[in-house]
Amino acid sequence: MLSIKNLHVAAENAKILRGVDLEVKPGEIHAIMGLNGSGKSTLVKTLAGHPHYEATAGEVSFEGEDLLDLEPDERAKKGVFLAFQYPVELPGVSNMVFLRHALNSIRAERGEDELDPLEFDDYVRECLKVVDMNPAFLDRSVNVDFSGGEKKRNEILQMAVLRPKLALLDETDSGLDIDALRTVADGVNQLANEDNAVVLVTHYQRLLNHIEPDFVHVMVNGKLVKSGSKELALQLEERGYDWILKEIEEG
Amino acid sequence: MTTSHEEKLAHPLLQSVKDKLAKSDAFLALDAPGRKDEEWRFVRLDNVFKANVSVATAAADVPAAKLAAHNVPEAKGRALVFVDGVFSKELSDTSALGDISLEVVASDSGDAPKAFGEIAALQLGGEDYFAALNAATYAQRVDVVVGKDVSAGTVHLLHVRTAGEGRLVTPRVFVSVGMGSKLTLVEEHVSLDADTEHVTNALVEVEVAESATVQHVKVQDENLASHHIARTALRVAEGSNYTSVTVTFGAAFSRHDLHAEILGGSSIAGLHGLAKISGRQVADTHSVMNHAHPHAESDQLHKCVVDDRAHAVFNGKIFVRQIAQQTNAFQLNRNLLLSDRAKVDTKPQLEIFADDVKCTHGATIGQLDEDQLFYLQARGIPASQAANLLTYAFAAEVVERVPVLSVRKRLAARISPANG
Repeated sequence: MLSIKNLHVAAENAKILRGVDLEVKPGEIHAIMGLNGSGKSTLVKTLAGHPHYEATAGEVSFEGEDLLDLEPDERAKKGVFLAFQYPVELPGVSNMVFLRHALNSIRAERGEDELDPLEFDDYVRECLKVVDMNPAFLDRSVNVDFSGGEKKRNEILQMAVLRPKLALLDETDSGLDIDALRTVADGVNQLANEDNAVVLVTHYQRLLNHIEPDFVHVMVNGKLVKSGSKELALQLEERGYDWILKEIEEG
Repeated sequence: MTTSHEEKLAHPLLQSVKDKLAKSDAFLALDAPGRKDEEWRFVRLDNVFKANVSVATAAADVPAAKLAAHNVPEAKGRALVFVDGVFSKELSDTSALGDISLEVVASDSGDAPKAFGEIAALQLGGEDYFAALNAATYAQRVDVVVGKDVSAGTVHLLHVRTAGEGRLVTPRVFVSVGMGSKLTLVEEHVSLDADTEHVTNALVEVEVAESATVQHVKVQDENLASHHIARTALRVAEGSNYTSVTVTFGAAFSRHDLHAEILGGSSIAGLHGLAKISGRQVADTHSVMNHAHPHAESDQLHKCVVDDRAHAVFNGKIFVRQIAQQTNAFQLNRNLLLSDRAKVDTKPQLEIFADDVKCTHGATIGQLDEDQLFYLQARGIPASQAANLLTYAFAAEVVERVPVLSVRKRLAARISPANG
């Protein structure tokens, strides 16, 4: 589904990613872990098409297409979804209008009819259950005056509405208390299936107690330096990152 | 250097009212404003003075169907229509006036309501060129008089400008709302074609008595060949509430002066505005909020959406006199530039002579937020649609304040993303 080869990315002339390789197949859940500033978020933002990040070398193909060649909205229409680390506030744009616009853009791409407001209302109410959200949130401006946890839930609501093929979750666990973490993780688990894939970026093992990854990768200085099973995440939790850095030094 | 009367009256703009002006000492005492004047420094009036316009003497025939789009159901039976500045009895509907006195009278008919002309005159000290031009040349005025404790509903004043000859349109409106009464006024200016060059010079005075409420909606949607100059002069008494929402879409050049005299405590004056302009349009708004009494509140949100090479101007003065302790004054001017060549001049101006007041003001000028655009794009919404959605959201904050549902819906549709 997703194939990343030797990806180099720079932002404002600073090199951030220095040769990332990653293969993701349908049905898989990948976790990318690493210290602050290692480039984890840059990777998923680049995949979503954030204008601040420029791929200077390497290739990314998504279902056989050159992903880097597409505008962010085109990537979303193909099924790429980024759950933002810091969801953006849109004063004056109601969640309902936002979600309907987004879904209808994506449905048009898939050759499906647009949903009118009534049809959409039925559909979105089902989606709300995935993240246990109150319908009152639909009438509010997107993320405005939402708590940190509500914003993260709203991201997963968007994922539930848009049903992406590839979901990139950027530190979706940060700022969540244990109850909110469970709700968000449950939502992701409900949405994950054999046909889609999840790449989640996190600092900590705790999200991985709830969303079980098939693969764990460690990013250091813009490279994925070590990959393993979910046991690797437990090791990182226990021993920190120093031993990995040492392993690298020792070559 | 003094300018002779002949020179003062030589502008094409004034040709059709020359005789009236020659008899007006108040007008002849004034020089035409220009960029050297502080109040006019951001704009050029050359094209206004050069406009070849004349005064219509009879209302041109306009099929009622042509005005259907401007119908305000809330004002059924309380709607006056003016064609090129001339009252049209045929197009107007005054079948449900109730307790309102709504009259169109000739300027030379003698008796005017108490306080007519005083409100503007007191504020200006006779110094405003266009107010003086209005006073010397208007042919008909509208008196909207509401007595005590009347719920007067909505009144619609629709000014339409027709195709053909360019006209000098001089609306003159006097509104007096008595103690404890409530009135909603919709003032609308539209053109029936895209290219006839008209000049409007309006003067609206509003007197809000004790504990009265006035909601004033003004929509200026004239064609892009026209020029629109207007003054709204207000007097706000104890415990009253005056709120206006002015929406500007049209005219090549528009200038709106709003002046509120706040003369009683526990009163609220709100002057809100949206100017959404493009091409080479210029929209200039000047406001004065004069707090001359303690314990009053004023509130102002003025937003401009400026595209292409258009130019928006905002000058918002707030005076808090020494006597006006415990004043709450809030003012915010926010500007959204949609192109690199769009221009905004903003000048908030607070002069506070009292020491126990709460006054906040701010001005922002910005472009569409990159993070917001990316967020929308990341959800599958193309860049241009994302920009329209954000622009709509920005403008809608003002439109949502329009208290008349049918007008609010119409304006929302006008700025909706679907209409780009």
